[in-house]
Amino acid sequence: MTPADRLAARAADPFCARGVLGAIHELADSTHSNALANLITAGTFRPELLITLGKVGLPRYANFIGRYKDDAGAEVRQAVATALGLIDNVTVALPALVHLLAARTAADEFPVRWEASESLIRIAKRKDGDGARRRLAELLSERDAMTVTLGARALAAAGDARGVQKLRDLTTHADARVREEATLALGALADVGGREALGRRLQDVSLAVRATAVYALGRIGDASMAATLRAAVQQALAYEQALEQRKQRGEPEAALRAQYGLGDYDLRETLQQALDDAGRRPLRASRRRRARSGAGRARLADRRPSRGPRWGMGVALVTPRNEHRRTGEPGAAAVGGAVNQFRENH
Amino acid sequence: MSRPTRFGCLTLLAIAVALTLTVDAGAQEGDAARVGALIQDLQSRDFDRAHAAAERLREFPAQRAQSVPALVQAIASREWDRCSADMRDAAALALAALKAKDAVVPLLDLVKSGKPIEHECFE
Repeated sequence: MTPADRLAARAADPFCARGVLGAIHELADSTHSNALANLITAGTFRPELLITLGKVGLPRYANFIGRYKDDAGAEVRQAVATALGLIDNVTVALPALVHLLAARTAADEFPVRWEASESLIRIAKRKDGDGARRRLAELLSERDAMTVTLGARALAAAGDARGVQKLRDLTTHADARVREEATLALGALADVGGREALGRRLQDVSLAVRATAVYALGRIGDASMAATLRAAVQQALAYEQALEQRKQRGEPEAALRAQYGLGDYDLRETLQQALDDAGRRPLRASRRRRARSGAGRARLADRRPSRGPRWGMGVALVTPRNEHRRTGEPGAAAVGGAVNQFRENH
Repeated sequence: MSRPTRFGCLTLLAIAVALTLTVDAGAQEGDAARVGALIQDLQSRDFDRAHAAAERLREFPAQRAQSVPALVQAIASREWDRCSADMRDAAALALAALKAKDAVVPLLDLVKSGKPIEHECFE
C-alpha cells in the first residue's frame, strides 16, 4: 500500500463487480425515485440505492436521504454522504454533510467523514457554491483537528487559498494522523507552495507521514527531486528497521503502528511511484539552466531512465547495506539530513 | 463539366449508395441471426452457455429490440444449473451496456424479490 493507493481506495466505485445494482444506477432516472425510496425503507441494499437516489432523485428526496445520516451502519452513513453530494438540494445537503464531516462517534467514522468532505467539495465547486465555501471556512476554527483538516482539504480543493494555508499549518500538528492527512491532501492538490512544509515531513517521527511527504513531493517536484526522495526513503527504511527490531524485542505491534505508522505504507513502492510521478514533469527553467552548466551535469544523471527492474533503482540505492559500502558511514547518518539537501536543491 | 460526365458521376454515386445499403442490410441480417442464436443460448439452463451469450449480446446494440426483452425475461424468471446470481449479474451488465432504460423496473423488482444477485461463483 502506498499513499496513492490509499487515495485510490477511498475513491473506489461502490458498484464495482455489482452488475444488478450498477445497472440500476446507470439506467434509472427521476421517475424511479419512489420505487428506490421504497426499497431503501425496506432495508434492501440500502447504501447502494441511497447513492442512486442521490443521483437521480428529485430535490425533495434530500430530506428522505438525510434521515439516514445517523444510521447505525457506517456504510449507510457513508452512502448518505455520497448521495447528498449528488442531489440538487444544497439547503438540506449542506448542514447534513457538515454534521457527517464533524462526526467523531465511532472508530469506523473516517470513511464517512472523508465522503462528506468529497461531497462538500462537489457542492463548493458549483457556481452557487458560495454557501458551502463559507461553511467550510467556518470549519477551520473547529476544535477537532481532523474536522479542521478535512474542512481545509475541501476548501482548498474548491480553490480557496485559506484551505491550502491551513493544510500547510497542519503538517506540524501534534497528532500524526492529522499531519498524515494534511500532507496527503497537499500532495493530492499538488501544492507547489507547500514544498518547504512537505520537505520537513521527510524527517517526521511517523513513518506514515514520511511516506505521504514522499508521495506529495513526487506530485509537485520534477526529476531533480529524485536524489532528495531517495535519500529520504533510505533514511526512513533504516528507521523502519529500528522499529521492527523493537517489535521483535516485544513491544506491541499495535502501539508501534499507532505511534510511528509502522507497516502503514510500503516505502520502496511509495518512492518508485513518486519518482515516476516527478520524472514525468519537465525540469523547471532555472534547473535547465543549471543542468546545461558544468555544475548541473552530475544531477542530470538522475534523469536517465533506469535499465534495471522497475523497483531496482530505488532498492539498490536505499538499502542501508549498500549505503554503508558507498559512503563508509552508517546508513542513517550518511544521508546528512534530507531537509538540508532538499533546501540546497530547491 | 459536360452533361454525359456529370450523369456518369451521379450514376456511380447511386450505385455506390445502393451497394452500401445492400451490404448494410446483409450485415444486419447476419447480426439478427447471430443475436437470435445467442438468445436461444441465453434461454438454456446451462450456465456457461447462457453466461457467454449474455456477455456477447452487448456487442449488438443495433439488435437491442430483440435482445432486451430476452435479457429482462432471464433476470425476471429464469434459474440456471449453477451460479444463478452471476448469471443475473451478467444479464444486468448487458442491459446497462444496451442502455435499456425499460429494464429498470424489472431490475428493481429483482432486487425486491430477494433472489441472489451477488457473485457466488469463483471466476
